[in-house]
Amino acid sequence: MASALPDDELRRELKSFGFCPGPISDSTRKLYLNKLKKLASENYSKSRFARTQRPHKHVLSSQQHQTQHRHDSLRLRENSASPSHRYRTSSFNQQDSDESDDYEAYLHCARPADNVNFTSYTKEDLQKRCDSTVKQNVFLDRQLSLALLTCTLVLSAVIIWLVYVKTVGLGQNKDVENNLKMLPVDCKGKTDTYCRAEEHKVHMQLLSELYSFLAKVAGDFECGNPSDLKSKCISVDDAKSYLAILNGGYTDRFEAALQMIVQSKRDLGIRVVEPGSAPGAVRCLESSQPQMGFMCRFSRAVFSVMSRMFIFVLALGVLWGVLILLRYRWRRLQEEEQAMYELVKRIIGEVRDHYKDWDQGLEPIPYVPIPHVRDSLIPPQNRRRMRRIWDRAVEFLSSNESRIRTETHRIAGEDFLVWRWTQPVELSDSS
Amino acid sequence: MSTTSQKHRDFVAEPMGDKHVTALSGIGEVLGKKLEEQGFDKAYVVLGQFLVLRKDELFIEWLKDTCGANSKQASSCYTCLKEWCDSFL
Repeated sequence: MASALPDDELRRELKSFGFCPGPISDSTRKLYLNKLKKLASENYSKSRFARTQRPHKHVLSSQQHQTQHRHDSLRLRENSASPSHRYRTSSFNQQDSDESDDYEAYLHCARPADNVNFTSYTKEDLQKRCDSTVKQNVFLDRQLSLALLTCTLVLSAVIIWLVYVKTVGLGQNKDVENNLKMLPVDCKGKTDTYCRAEEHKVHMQLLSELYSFLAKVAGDFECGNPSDLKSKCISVDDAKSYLAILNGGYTDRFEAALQMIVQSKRDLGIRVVEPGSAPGAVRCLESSQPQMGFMCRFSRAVFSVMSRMFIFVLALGVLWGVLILLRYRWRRLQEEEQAMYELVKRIIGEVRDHYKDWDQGLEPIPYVPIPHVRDSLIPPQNRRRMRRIWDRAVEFLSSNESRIRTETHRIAGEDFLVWRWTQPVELSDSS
Repeated sequence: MSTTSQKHRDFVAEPMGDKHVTALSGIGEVLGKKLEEQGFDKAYVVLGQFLVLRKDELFIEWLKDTCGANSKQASSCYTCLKEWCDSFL
């Protein structure tokens, strides 16, 4: 076809097929002519079968292989170069003319850069690892605190109810009043019904007065004793004098009323205490139903309930304490794990950088001792504190990281465990 | 890459310096002499030609034409030079 083409025409023809020739000299001319012939014949045969296809396409597929070399050499020293940067540098290096179709042809020649994505420990991966354990802990945590909360509520409800019952219970006792009303009548001298009824009524009044007096005294005595009584038992004479102040008619009937109290089998709320063998002891009256103020009752109720429920309240308190401790511990463990993964990331970056430096000739050895990595990552004041995290990170690396290999080497006369980055540098991702 | 020969591995492991053209993989005594006659006495001269051809497979054709190498020898030499360029260029 064209065996005696001038060089620039030959070049143009080759470029029209998307092939980028090098310098055309004596040694290369024949080769490029043959290439042009081959391309032309291929193009012709292709266009016969598929007229819609662009003629450059088949050229491109055979070209990708040759342009691969260009990009490999460029990629070697520019690991972090973006694809657009590579495009620019290649076209800059190759441009020797200002023709616009030159640039286009070079763009055809250039191959879209391969972005090989290698898995690295991105934040999402780490997060997924952490999440599973955290979810479990949070679930347990929630269950336990719910259970304890219900227990506390139930217990407090029970305590309040008991206090209320006791408070009310320490108040009046209706039975005594009813019993008082059922005492048999004893009319002095007269036996007709009216007299009996009158007598009975007066006796009732006397007894109720006596009862309330004794109850008040007893209540005062029980609740702090403001009037400094020696006992809640009032001597008979004192009682008689009190009743005399109230009503003169009570004095005659006092003895009869006392008899009634003594004889009655039912509980009247008044007790007659016989003088014992102690010197100076007198016959006295005592209330078995002290009438205490509300605050007094309430505090007594609370004390008695609490003393009985003491054991439960204590147990609940202990459980709450345990729950709080557990929560604290879980939080600490989680923080430690996060710190460990962070450290692992930094270690991987450090080892890889060391290998890259060695590759460029800045470091004498391709591996780095483990203590040296630790000392370059952790400042001195934190080393003791982070010892546990460091050990866990080392353990994690040796079992879960395939790009770093642990070896033993002697460096400057001392044996070290070292880390060596084993992944070829061109393939590693710059993350 | 266990199909590479020892010669290939030796050449690719270090900068070629002033090595003779017979140090290239695929180039033996006979081919080396023929290349010397054409002026390609050192490996770097052949490298020059390889680079002028933009590291393309056209180099294989060129080598066949220049010294009469067969396909296997020429491909071996081409691969050897390509890898050397990947590492050192």
